[in-house]
Amino acid sequence: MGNFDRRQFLKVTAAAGALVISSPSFSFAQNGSKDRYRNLDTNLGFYLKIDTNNMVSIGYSVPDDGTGVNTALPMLVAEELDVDFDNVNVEKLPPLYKENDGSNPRGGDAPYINQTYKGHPIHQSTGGSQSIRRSYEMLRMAGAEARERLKQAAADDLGVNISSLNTDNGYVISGNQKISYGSLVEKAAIVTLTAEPKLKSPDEYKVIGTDQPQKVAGDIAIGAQKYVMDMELPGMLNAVIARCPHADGLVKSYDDTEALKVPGVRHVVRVNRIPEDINEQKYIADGVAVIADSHWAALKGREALEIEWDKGRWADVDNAWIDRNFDKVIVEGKTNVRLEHGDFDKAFAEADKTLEVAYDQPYWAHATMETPCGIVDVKSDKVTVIAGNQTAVRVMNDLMRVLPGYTHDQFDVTLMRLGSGFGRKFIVDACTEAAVLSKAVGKPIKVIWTREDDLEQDFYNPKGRHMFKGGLDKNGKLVAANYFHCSTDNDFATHAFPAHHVPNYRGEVIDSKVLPSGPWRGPTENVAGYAMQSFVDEMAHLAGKDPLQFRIDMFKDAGDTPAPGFSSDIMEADRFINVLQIAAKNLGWGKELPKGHGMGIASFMTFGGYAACAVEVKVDSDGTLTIINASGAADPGIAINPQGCRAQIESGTLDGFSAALGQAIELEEGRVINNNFDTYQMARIGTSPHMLTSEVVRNHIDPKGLGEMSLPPAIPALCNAIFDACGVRIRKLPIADQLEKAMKV
Amino acid sequence: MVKFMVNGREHTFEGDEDMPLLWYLREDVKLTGTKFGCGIAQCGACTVHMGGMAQRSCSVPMAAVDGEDIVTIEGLGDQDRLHAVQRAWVEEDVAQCGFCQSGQIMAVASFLKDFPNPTDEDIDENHTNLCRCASYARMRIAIHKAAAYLRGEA
Repeated sequence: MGNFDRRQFLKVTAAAGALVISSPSFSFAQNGSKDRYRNLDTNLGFYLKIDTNNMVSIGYSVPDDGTGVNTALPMLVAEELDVDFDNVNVEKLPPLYKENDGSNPRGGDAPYINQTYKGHPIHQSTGGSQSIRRSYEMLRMAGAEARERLKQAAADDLGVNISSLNTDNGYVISGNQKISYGSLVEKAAIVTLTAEPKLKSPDEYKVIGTDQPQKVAGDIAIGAQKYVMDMELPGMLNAVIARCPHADGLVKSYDDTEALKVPGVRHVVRVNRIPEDINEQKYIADGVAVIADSHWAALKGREALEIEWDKGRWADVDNAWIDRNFDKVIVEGKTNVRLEHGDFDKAFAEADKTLEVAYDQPYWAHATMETPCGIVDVKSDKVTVIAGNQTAVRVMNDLMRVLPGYTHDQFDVTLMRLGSGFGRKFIVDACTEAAVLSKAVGKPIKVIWTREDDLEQDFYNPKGRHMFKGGLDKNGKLVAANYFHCSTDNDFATHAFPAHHVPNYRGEVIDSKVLPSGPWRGPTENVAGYAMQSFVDEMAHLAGKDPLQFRIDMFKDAGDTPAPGFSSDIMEADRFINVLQIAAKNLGWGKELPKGHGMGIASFMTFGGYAACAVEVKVDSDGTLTIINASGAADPGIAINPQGCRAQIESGTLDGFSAALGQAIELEEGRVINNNFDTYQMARIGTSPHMLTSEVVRNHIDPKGLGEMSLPPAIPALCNAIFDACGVRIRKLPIADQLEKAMKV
Repeated sequence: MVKFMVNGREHTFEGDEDMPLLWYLREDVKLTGTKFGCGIAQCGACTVHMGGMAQRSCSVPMAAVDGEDIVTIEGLGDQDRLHAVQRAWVEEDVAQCGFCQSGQIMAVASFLKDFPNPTDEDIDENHTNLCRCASYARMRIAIHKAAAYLRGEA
């Protein structure tokens, strides 16, 4: 290549004895522009900083909700920079916004979008298992750029050609000479590179692919890690809000006389539903806020409020109502056929053996460990925000909806580590409420949601019914299948196995929305995995075949199949078979089992990542279920931090078991009645298997993600194991006391 | 007036004695390592030690802490002198989001006093804190490891 294109490349400034690399638009020269990057001189700069004493700091742009991006993303930079990762400091970067110039097709019509680096949006959102995938190339480029600058600075010093130099763990190497990066940073900042830095090939990796503990593990263990709920602003008041507990209900009237008498209570403020149109999904529930000196005083004030609710349009709704509504729309409703090939009706009619089954699953809540919380200070010329949300840009874009007239230059947004997210914290509701209240009373406001608030006002994983018809030919092959998904709001797993593995297939969906819903770990896949993999298992048993071999044969027959969708375009049969076989092998699939024990297996592709789960259970004669052993395997492409990957396999597997065993939202009069952990049942260590193996496939394929992949196969693997152990097929979640009841009969 | 010790220092409190200890720790004295999770003693995110034993501070009113000796996660150990449970937690890379882990560590430190050589069944029956990330597999390994440290076996 010819002259290196400066405009397309990083701009480097020497600041405070550090090599601070930033993209051109972050530089001081453009400080007056709307594109900005705060505190460039004192902060990390774009991705990395090297002090003169050779201390390396690497920033990460994606908020971490527990998936370990605080470690995995800096590993990408460290790999190309060539430094000892043990001694690298990591630090969360502040949000990097710019006005929406249409450069990011994913930006839609939002006023602000992510800053770009080399034309690519800087990924600043955790969700969709895409943190690694969207950063893999970009962060390695940032590391390589810095490494080449350091080499060029050394080459200039030594009077040698850059091509004669190597690097090793924080040093430029010239023959026997070792020159520390720290001694080169000032020169490195001003050298001119004549060639685009080359990225390493995966077989040269020294950091990527090594097991690294989370960089924040030490702070967490001593209670020093801060989350939004731990933060304060000077002069801040605390708010809690009484929100209408009936879905889409409203405040009819309220009396705050007694609330205002509670010591410490300062204000009672009406909070209006957003959006105003009751037919649109709520963003902010209608309610009344109590603002006080302390959280406790605000809670006491809220208890003293007298509110009459307008119960709204769902006042008759409970789960049985929704089930009856499913019955109705299934018959009357117009389905949306998403995929059809062959002739299902004919093949089903001609099949040797057939099965018709339905699988039901309830609403699940996110129940993030840290309830929603937001801190906002709206001043006339400045808006300060401390948030615990999954995306940087959305915090500001959403707040601007309730703060008309402010421009993004006036926003100072800090995103904290999240006390888990699972999709819930895409919604910036707590901060939006805090902004509304801060504007109303002229003080910084912290809104804390109680657990009851959280479980009553969630954006639930939709409730659904999944109906299947399947037909086997004389050889026990699945030749006809119809998947009909009736849901309160789900998308449809159009291309999931076995959609393209059955010659005569029809996939169709119908929606009938009730409660507000939103993404929940592996949205769509989380419940489709349960349904589709239970169905395949039932067909394998109907065919009298080993459930593992039945699946492998289907993958082998169909080969690679199309999977157009979020993060994927093709489903590779070999990778699917591989994760199935690993999960099976690590569990000891096929070994002789004691009476009452059984094994089950399942696999699912989520957002382009392959995962399988195999489970051994014991079901006693009284129906007591014990999960003896579980084995998760995943192939997300190249494993950046295998230790972190295994953590996500473990988490997805046990989270899946937790959802399957006990989780279900209960409704009365359109309100959630199991609104805390005494009644919303989540697994503790006691129901977790004593043995759990997790294995991540090692390859060099460009990465997808792993935050969500392991949950969808875990649930059906458990259900399939239960069937193998005791012959009871779980066709309705949660499992709860179904086995006890079934074994009594 | 309520008088008590927190992490070896004397404290006095003269406010609303109905207020749970959790909010005193978090808001009045800024010991934010102790977390709010449910408010009804179900999840254990708020676990502290009172008289050396685990208590869920969201459900302990200030009236009940008079004369008590309270230790929070900040008083259990520090970066240079980690408690055995903290050390095992770091070594096994237990935490995911980390929000529940102060409470987990405090609960386990107390549990291991009663069960210095716990079986898996002891853990199942007695450790009831909720981890929403379901980090239970590594947690189990870390509990056994911490027990071994406390027995002086490593």
